[in-house]
Amino acid sequence: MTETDARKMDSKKDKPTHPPGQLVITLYNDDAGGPPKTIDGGPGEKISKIVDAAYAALEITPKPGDRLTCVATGEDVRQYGDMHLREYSSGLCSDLVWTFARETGGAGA
Amino acid sequence: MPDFTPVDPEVAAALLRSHLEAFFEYSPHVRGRVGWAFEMSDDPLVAIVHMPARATGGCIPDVYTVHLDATYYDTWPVSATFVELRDGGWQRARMGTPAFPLLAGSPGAPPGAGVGFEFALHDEYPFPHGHPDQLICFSYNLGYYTSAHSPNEDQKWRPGSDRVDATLTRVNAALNSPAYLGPSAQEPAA
Repeated sequence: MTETDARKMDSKKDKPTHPPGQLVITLYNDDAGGPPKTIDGGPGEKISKIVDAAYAALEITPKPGDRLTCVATGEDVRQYGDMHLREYSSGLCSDLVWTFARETGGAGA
Repeated sequence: MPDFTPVDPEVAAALLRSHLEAFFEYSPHVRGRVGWAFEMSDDPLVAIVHMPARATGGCIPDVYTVHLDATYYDTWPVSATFVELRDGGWQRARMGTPAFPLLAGSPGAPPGAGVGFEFALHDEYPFPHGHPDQLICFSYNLGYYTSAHSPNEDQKWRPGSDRVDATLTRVNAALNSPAYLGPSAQEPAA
């Protein structure tokens, strides 16, 4: 084995593995920054369940003023709570990259 | 009155630099978008960030420059100010110049839908016990607190948890919202 092969194998070992057939949501925290979390979800799972998993991954209690957003569209994720992940990812947020941000205080919205 | 004691300058400068580097490495708002850049100034407590706004006149985005002062970071958020290069240095941008964005609903701008969350940009805000100055009014900017605004618990800056990311992503979201109408002037004032 060459050094390059060994490095490739090490690099594969470092990457998280995802169960086959699962979709992967990449979740960034716009307040705390840093590398993203990933969440696996079955195509038949409801978005509301994925949202719960997102909050658990962030170790944050949901609040009404939070913004959980699809980066590609800027749309709020939680409005699609009853939709299945397969349907959501096929047109509404195909790359499944989300951001979280807490409520913002300031002048009127 | 909140305690505005400056943070140890070495600590504040190191936090500002490392958090900015991480923001530019990880943020999905930066990746693949033209116009983002940052530079540390000669003062290690000050960084200059360039960020793109929604393209209003074609496909090339307008780019704005924000001055970040980390004197109180991260006990408090950075102080963010739109600036322009003038007389050899970064100076506060003023309404009526290309460096000052027009955000519908903010003072001096046309009425219209807001940016989608609580946020306003004042060209000249009457700070208590101080001189009037620019205020980007939102709870992830130091000026929000020094101008005696009162956030609720969920809106408050959280030291040790919140980073400069929170400031930059909200300013950038405002500049990419439907409320962004373009620069407040196309050409520099004569």
